Amino acid sequence: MQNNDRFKSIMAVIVAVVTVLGAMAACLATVAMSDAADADFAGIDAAIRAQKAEIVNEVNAYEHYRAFTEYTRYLELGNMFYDPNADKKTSVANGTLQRKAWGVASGIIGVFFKPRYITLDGKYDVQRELAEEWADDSKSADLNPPPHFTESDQLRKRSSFLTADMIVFALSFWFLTLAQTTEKGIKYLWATLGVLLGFAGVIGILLGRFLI
Amino acid sequence: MSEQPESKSEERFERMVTVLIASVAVWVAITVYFQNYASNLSDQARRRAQESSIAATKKEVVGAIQYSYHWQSAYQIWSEIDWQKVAAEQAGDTATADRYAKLKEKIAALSEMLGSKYFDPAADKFINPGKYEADLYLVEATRLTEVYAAEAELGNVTNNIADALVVQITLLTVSLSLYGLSMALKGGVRWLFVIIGTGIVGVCALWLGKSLIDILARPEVNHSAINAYAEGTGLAYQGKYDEAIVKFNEAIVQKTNYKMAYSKLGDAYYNKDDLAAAIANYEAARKAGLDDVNINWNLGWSYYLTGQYSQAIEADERILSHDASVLGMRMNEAIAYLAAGDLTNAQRQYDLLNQEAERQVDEAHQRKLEPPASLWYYMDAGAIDLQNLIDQLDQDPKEWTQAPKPDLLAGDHAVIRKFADKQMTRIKETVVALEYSGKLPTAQNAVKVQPFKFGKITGKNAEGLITGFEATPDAVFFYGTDTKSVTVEFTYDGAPPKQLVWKVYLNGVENQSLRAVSNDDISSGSTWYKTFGYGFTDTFILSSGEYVVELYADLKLAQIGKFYVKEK
Repeated sequence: MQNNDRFKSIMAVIVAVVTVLGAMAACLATVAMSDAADADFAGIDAAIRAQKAEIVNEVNAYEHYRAFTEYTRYLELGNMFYDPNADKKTSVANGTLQRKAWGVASGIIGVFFKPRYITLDGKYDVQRELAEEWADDSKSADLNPPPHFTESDQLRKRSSFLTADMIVFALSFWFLTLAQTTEKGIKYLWATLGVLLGFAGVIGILLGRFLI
Repeated sequence: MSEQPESKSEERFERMVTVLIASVAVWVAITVYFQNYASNLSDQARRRAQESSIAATKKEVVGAIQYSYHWQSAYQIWSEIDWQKVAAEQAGDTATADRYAKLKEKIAALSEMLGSKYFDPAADKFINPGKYEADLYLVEATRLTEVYAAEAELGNVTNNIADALVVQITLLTVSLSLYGLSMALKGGVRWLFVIIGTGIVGVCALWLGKSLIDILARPEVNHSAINAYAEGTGLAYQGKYDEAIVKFNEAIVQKTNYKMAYSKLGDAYYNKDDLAAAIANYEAARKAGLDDVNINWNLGWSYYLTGQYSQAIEADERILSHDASVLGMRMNEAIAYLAAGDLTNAQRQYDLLNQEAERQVDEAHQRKLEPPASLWYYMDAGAIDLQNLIDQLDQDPKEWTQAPKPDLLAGDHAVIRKFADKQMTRIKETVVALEYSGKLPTAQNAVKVQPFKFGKITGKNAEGLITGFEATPDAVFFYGTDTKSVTVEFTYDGAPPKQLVWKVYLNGVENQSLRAVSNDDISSGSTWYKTFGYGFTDTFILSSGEYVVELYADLKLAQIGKFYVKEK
C-alpha cells in the first residue's frame, strides 16, 4: 500500500509538472501568435507608407514631366523659327517669335522641373527621378513590408508547432493519469510512456522556441 | 459489509471519470491545434488580401497618374499642335504647317502612348488609348483586385472555421466541468453529468470532423483563373470581345464557379449583340452568387431587349425593392412595363422615377451638396431609351437604337408610342428643370414655338443683325468645309420666354459642347436665330450624322427639330 501511495504521489508530481509544461507551451504559442500579428501590422504599415510615398512621388515626377513636355514644345518651336533661306524682314520677325518661345521655355525649365533629369538625347528620365525620390524616402521611413511578413510567417509556424506540442503533453498527461488509476503492473508502462512523452514535449518546447 | 462494495464502485467511477477527463484534455489539445491552424490560415489570407488591396489601389492610382500625363499632357499638346497645323494649312501657310508637323513628331517622341505600338497618326484618325491603359495598369490592377477578393473569401471561410473550433473548445471545457462535478456527487445523478458531458464530447467529435472537412475543402486562390480573367478584362476594355471571350472561358474552365468571369463574359457577348449568350452568362453569374446592382441591371436590360419583360421586371425589382435610389433600373423597369403593354404600372414607375430624382436633388441641395453626376446621365439615358422605342415603333431604327423589335412589343403600338412620347418629354423637362432650378417642372404651358427651320445666314446688317436667312430643303446639309455650322430659325407665339436652353444631340448622344443657355430679352421680335457649329474657326467642321435640336423655353420643352449632315 505504501509503495502504491508513493507511486501515486510521484505520478501526481509528474502530472503537475506536465501540466505546467503544457501551459508553458500554450503560453509560448500564444506569444508567437501575438508577435506574428504585430509583424503583420508592421508589414501592412510599411506597405501603406510605401504606397503613399510612391503615389506622391509619381504625382510630382509626372508634374515635372508635364512641364518638361511644355518646355520641349516651346524650345522646339523656337528652333523651328530659324530659316536660313528667309529674307531679312522675315528673319527679324522669326527672330522675335523665336525669342518669345525660348523665353517661355527658359521660364519653365527654371521653375517647373529639375533639368538634371534631362538625358543626353533630350528626353526626361522620369524613372531616375522616381528612383532617387524613393531612395530618399527609404532613408527616413520603413517602406519594406516583405521582411515583416517573412517574420510573421515564421512566428506562425512556431505557434503551430508549439500548439502541436500541447497534444504531446496532453497525451503524456493521459498516460500518467492512466498510470495513476491503474493498480496492476502495467501502470509502470503507462508511467514510462507518460514520462517519455513529457520529455518529447520538453524537446518540442526547446525546438519551437529556439529553432523555429 | 454494505459500505465496501459502494466504496469500490465509487473508486471505479472516479477512475473512469479521471481517464475521461484526461481523454477530453487530449481532445481539447487536438482541437486547439486545428483552431490555431485555421486561425493562421485566416490571418495569412487576410494579410495577403490587404497586401493585394493596397497594391491594386497603388497600381490603379499610379496608372491613372501616368495615363493622365500621356493623355492630358502629351496627347493634348500633340493635338493642339495638330489643330494649329490644320489651321495653317487652311490659311495656305505651308511653311508654318511643316514646322508644326515637325514639332508634333518631337512631342510624340516623349510619350509611349503616341509611339507606334499604340498609335499610327498616318493610319488612325483618333487615338485608341484602351490598349495603352490595359497594358499600363488595368490588367494588373484587375488581377490584384481579384486576388484580394479571393484571399478575403479564403480568410473569411477559415476564420469561420476557427470560430467554430473556439466554440468546440468552450463546449469541451463545459464537459470537463461536468465530469469534475460528477465526482463530487453521489447516486444516479452523477451519471447524468457523465452522460451529458460525454454527449457534448460526442457532438464536438462530429463537429471537429466537419471542421476538418471544411479546412480541406476551403476555397483556393486560383491564380491561373485570375490571370485569364484579368487578361480578358484588358482585352474587353480594348473592344477585342472575341479574344476576351476566349480568356473568360479559360478562367471559367480553371474555376467553374467564377462569378465575375461569367458576368464579364455576359458583357462581352452583349457587346457582340449576342443577347441569348449574354443572358445565359449573366444568369450563370447570378447562380454563382453574384446578385448585385450591376448584374441585375445588365440582366434586366438584356431581358427587355429580347422581349422577356416579366423576367426583366423581376431582375429590376430584385434591387429596387430594397434600394429605390437606383434611377437607371427604375427607368428600365418602367420601359419594360411599357413594352409589355402595361401602361398603368409603367406610369407608376415613371412617377416614382420623377419623385426619386427630385428627392435626390432636393436632399443634396439641403445638405449643400451636389446630386450625383450619374443622375443626369441616367435621366438622359432614360429619355434616349424612350426615343429608341419610338424609333423602333416608327420602323425607323438607327444604328444606335437599342429597343425590342416591334413584333416583341405587346399591346396597342399607337398607344405605347403616344405614352412613350409623353414620358420622354416629361423626363427631358424634369432633367432641365432639376438642373437649372432644382425643382420639378411646373404645370404651366410651354411657350408655343413654330417648327424649326434649318439653314444658313445669308446677310447681316452693319450692326451685325441678321437680315437674310435661307432655309435648306429637308434640313440636309453636306459634309465639308461649307458646313461649319447650321442656323436654326425659330418663331414663338405669345409672351416671350425669359430663359432658353438649347440641347443638341448627335447620333443619339448629347454634344454638350453645343449646349447653350440664354437669358437674353427676345421681346423685341418673335423670330430669332441660333447658330450651332464652328463658323468662328477654320479648324473644325460639323461631323456627319443626325442632329436633334431641342429648345426649352422657361424650362419647358418648346420644340424639337432635326437636321442631317451627310456625306456627299
